[in-house]
Amino acid sequence: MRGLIMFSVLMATFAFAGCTTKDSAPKPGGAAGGVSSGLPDGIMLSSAPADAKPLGEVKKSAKKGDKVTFVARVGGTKHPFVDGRATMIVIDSSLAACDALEDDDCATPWDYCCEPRESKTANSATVQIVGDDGKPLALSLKGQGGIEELVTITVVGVVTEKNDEGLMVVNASGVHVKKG
Amino acid sequence: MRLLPFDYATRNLGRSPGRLVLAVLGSALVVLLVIASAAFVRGMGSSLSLPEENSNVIFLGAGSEESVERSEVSTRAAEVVATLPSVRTRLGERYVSPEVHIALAIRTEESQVEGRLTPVRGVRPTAYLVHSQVHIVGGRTPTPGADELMVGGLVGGQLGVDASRLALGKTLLIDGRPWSIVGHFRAPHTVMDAEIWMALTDLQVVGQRDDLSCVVVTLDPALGDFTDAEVLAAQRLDLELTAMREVDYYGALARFYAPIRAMVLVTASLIALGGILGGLNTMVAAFAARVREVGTLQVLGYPRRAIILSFVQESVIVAATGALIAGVVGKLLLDGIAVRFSMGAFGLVVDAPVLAIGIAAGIILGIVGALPPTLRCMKLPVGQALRG
Repeated sequence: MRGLIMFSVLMATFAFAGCTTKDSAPKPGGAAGGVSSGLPDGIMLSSAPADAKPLGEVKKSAKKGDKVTFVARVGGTKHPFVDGRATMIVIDSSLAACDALEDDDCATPWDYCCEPRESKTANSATVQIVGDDGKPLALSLKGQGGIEELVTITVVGVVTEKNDEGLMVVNASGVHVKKG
Repeated sequence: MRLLPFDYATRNLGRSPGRLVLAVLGSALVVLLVIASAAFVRGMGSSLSLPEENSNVIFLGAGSEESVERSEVSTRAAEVVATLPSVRTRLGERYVSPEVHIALAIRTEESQVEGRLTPVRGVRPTAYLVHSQVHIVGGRTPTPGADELMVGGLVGGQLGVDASRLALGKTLLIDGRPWSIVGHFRAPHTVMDAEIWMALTDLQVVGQRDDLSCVVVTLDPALGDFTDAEVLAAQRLDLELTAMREVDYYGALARFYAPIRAMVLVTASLIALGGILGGLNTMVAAFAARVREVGTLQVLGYPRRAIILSFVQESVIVAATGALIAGVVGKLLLDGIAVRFSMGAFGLVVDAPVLAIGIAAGIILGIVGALPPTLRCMKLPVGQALRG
């Protein structure tokens, strides 16, 4: 009987140790701090690319197929992340989020509701991380490597969709999250 | 325990026919009020809820998630949304419905100074694919450019006119022009039942707008899910779209109206409580006159519990009879009556659960109304009770 109890305790210990080991294992692309899982290796950059420009400036001149590197903040809409898809909306850092205004108690300052709609459209872009099939990966970017609403990020990628009405979709090959 | 025979309770009811009728009517009124309140709550709730299997997605203008009437969507959005691979297709027709929603002042008579605000929806034929709850029960769909419209089953209540006033061939005045009624549709337990439908382009002309309110699509679960629609909305920043499940849209509206439903229930409960207290007053007087009878029954050997049970039986029979009458009246007179609210109108729903609530309220009324006065009678010693 005592042997059976010892065996059970040992098995339980191994089981929990196994869970812990799995959860605490380093994730691919997790070098930039925070936890990221399921993203391709090398997507999360540990240092910001030096040649990054503001998103608004890049968007004015970018064409479909261009390789771009820009700085932006996650936001521009109430729901900047798509749950279950590696897609997010970013907006130029020079625009003021609602929490930058005095006496503003907006619950979702990342929607930039204080900015005119035209300004938001002109300074926003969709960033996605796609798989081999060209479709966004089936995971949410929120929380990956510290990506959250209003966090400043630097994105390296290729413009896949662009028009003069405000559309700009970038397939990212690298994302750096600014700390602090 | 030696019980009093059941017919002792039933025969006692006939001792005072006038009082019996009043008690039954009183109970019926209280239960009818409970039924009306429950029918209101159920009607409003069902008009704002959709079955979980509903796979419709509404594309609204970003920032207008709370009201389709305030939403503005570019007409290009319908073409873009139609490219979504997961949209359901039938015989080559995509389940994509571009729509305009406007509340218009509708007049039924020339002499009418002000029209009644009524929700009007401008649609293309694909709307009948996307909104499968809509069934045309008479006439045909409106022809674009011919000043024609189709009315839902609750529009009469919404406009405050009889069904005959909305017969095929009759006209309604919109924007000073007569519009012919060419069709009738029903969409039971949905807000659409209180709407007027016309051709999309006609409503755009009337509303002086060249955009849409929303684009509604039906997804094919075998081809994709709601996330595809969200990705499309996130990608097409130029269209300033937001994607919502239709179920979630109406769920949010239902939550918005939850305080009203709660208020109705509280009001009904308070009135029911008033009814119970009024009933108690009557019962106290009625049972006080039967103190000698209680004493006699005790002398004959019936235990107090048996006497209490018999008195409660009497009361429950009266209250349940009233509840049954209220149920019949409620079903015949209240079921389907249109109630106007900001979303248009909804029909009162008197169905099995509502009737069950009414009957239960009647039985509770009977028990609660009888127990305190009966217990009060029982407190007297037998000798004192026999003296009256």
